[in-house]
Amino acid sequence: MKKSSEIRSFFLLYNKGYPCIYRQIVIFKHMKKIYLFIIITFLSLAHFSQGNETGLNFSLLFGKEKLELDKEFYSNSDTLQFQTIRFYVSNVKLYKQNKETVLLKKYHLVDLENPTSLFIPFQNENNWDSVSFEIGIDSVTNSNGAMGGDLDPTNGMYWTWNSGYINVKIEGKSINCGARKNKFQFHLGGYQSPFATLQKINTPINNNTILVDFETLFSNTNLQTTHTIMSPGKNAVDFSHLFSSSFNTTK
Amino acid sequence: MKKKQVFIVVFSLFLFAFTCKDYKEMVPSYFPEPSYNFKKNPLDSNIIKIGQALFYDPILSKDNTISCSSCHSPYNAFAHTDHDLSHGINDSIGTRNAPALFNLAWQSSFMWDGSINHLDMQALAPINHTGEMAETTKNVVDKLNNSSIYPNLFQTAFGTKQITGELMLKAFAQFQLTLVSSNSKYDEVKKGNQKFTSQEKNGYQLFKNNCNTCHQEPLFSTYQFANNGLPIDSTLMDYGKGAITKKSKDSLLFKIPSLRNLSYSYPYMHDGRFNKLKEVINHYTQGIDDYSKVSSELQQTITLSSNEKVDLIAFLKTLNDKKFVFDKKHQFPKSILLPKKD
Repeated sequence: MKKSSEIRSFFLLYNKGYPCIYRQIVIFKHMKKIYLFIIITFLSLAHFSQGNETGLNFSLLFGKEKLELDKEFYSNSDTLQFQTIRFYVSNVKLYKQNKETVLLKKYHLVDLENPTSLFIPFQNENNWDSVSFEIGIDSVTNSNGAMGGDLDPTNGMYWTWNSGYINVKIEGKSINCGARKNKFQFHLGGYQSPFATLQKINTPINNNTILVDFETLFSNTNLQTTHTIMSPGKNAVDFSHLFSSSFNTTK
Repeated sequence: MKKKQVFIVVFSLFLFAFTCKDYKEMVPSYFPEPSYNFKKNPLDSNIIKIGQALFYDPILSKDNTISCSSCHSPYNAFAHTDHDLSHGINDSIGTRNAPALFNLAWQSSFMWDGSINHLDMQALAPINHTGEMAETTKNVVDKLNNSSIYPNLFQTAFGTKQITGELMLKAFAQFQLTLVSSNSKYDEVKKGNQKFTSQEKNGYQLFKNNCNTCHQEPLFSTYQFANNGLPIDSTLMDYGKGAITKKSKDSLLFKIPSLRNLSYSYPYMHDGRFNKLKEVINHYTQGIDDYSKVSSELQQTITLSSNEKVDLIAFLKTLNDKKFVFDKKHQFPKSILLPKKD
């Protein structure tokens, strides 16, 4: 209702003072502006509604600091910088007093580069007691063929030389890193036994927030020797275990 | 002008009309159930058309020089005759022989080492391989979105101009699914339309006694993996499936290829080491030196007289499907990729 009246007044404004015969021409001339106006109206409406939205937050941290790409972080006499942090969460379920259960999202790609991906909106309920999910993509989905959205292979989270999703991608550099140009690359995946990397998480939550502390992960990793994991195997399984232990929501 | 265009579109729709019903007609009654799940990607003539255009379009490679058909030529049953190892961007040479492409709906893993687990995902491998097309999936999708041809094709087929990785891969798979080879002389005999010569008949019996366990009819492969006793090529050091699964039991296992269309798809074996059928048969009869790691199916020595070898080859040649190899329906889609300018 509000929108249509706004558009009408917009038309009236532009038609003012012009003879009837020219009106169509004038409207046509200003069509672009009208479209722009409509788009801006929609966007601002969407913006306001998002402000009130509740949802599940992923809070990515390095110790007590908020994790950011390309920023320097200090740990164990090492200086670290991250270029890429992406991981899949799947079968995200919310619980209240161990009774009510809601499947919030089947597959979700968290990408630090894209802040909106750190938030999965939900309605009706403001506070849930606990959450369960898997880090990564399950074996059935891994062999299901082409899929879209968060599972689209254009997201750079799919291995092309050996079918399967990359569950977790962590890339960056550190002074102590033993790799070429001090760059570490962890592409964790693999869905087939005995190298399945899917990790199950089941944990209580406060304020609908899941904390992921990368300092925990890297204080337990010697980047001098462990810096490159790019294929399914024992190293990927071990590092996936380590990564799952940095999901700690009760701090 | 407009009317003419509409007419051409409608007419070509009829021409390319291809539905699931047609697919069933292409598949003879003695073929097993396909393993591809058509429910998740139902065949549609407009989608197949996109897949066909993509297959022949070098836009997939980084410098727009290499298409799928560069190494999978229709005239070679979609293999690459005369090249032992596949070729790629900047004249690079790969490590394996480009396999023939047909009857893919009956296969559940792809590549000589089984590294690809679904037909939909297969195209990603050559696109992203630095020695083949050297592109990224995202770049290819971006190029397609910016092309003058593809957004309209996707609009007609999927109802959206927005091309995604998912839709591109589904289109790829659909075209490849239509590559069904089921019109060889062997098939005509099976259908009761033709008869084997006495030599072919004898060869068929020899085939059943010696080869059918791995190259099971009517597809002429179980599409499983085996060690057929080839000594490793020290210049390639290719351990096949073992390098992918990191399991010692999979070391030196390669996918069993179909024997259909073998006159069109030489050279043979995963590294194209044999140029002639005779060499292949000689390998199985007297070429295996070390039986310790050879798959169980081959542990019993195959003994064939020179006459029997000739008869066996006569039968194997009945598996050539000329109709499939020269079928215009699968060839370069001129009307899409090289449209006539008014």
